[in-house]
Amino acid sequence: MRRLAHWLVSLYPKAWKQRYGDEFHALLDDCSPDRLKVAGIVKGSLVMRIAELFQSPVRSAAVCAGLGAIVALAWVLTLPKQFRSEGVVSAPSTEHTFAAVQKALHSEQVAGFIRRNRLVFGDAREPVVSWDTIEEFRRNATFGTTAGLAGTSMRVAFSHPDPAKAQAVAREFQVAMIDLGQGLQAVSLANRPLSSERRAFGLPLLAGLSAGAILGLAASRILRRVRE
Amino acid sequence: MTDPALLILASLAEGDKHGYAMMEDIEQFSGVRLGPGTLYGAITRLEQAGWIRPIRQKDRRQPYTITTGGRAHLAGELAAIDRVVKAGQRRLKPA
Repeated sequence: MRRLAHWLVSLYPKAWKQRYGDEFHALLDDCSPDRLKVAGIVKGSLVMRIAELFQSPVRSAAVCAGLGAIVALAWVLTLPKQFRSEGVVSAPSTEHTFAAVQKALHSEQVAGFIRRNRLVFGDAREPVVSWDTIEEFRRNATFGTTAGLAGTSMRVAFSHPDPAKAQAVAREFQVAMIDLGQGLQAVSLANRPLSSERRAFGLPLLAGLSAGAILGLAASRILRRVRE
Repeated sequence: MTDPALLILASLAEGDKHGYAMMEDIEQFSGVRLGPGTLYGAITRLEQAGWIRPIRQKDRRQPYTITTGGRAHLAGELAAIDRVVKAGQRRLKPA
């Protein structure tokens, strides 16, 4: 029982232990805590440690920033892996490629891509053609042009959790650009991605750290006002 | 009334006590058995507020006494509770 009492006292913050440790130990010797009381003591020590943590704005911000970073990393790991299929088209000029991209990204075209390839975004189980899903499609499609003496070449890429769908959509997109544009030709058809894209941790990590630090500072300030 | 701080003040209003004696006394007059964690959490807050203070101890048990400010706070809280009790009882009476 003495060991249990000693352990329970050790859970509290150092400053509190110095002031109340001995007398609290004496009380625990007197009342022999059962499971319920032990749970209450553990809870009380946690509350005191949290309150102590939020007393210092710097410590509060640092701990909350750490927690924010962990949450952000966990969130990134829950996202499905993305496979990126890429093909190349050539055009007489940059203007020709941009005009073709604009036509291929027209809402009606995108709606067709979504329906034909049964693309599902977010939590939906069935393909849904809405303004949001059209925007989501556009976010997953990327382009990069390289201008040279013989004309312009453009990389056309599409990312999706299913590598087969990524390739199908990227190819369909290439074909649409060639059909709708003027003077465009396929240099290489969209490939079948073998490995997923590397997860982007940087931005979410930064967002988690910043949000955590701001929340930590705010919590420390609010608790100080409540105490006053 | 189950606020631990108020129960402790009510217990100390009758005389100085250490933690275990407070627990026993509170259970006797209110039927509420405070756990050691709850009791010392409230003692910490009450001492910080200046409503109780430790007095010279004879052994490891630390007795506490209620301060003048503590008595005034207890009186104010009890008066507020009394108003609520009286209003509630009045409203419960059949018209």
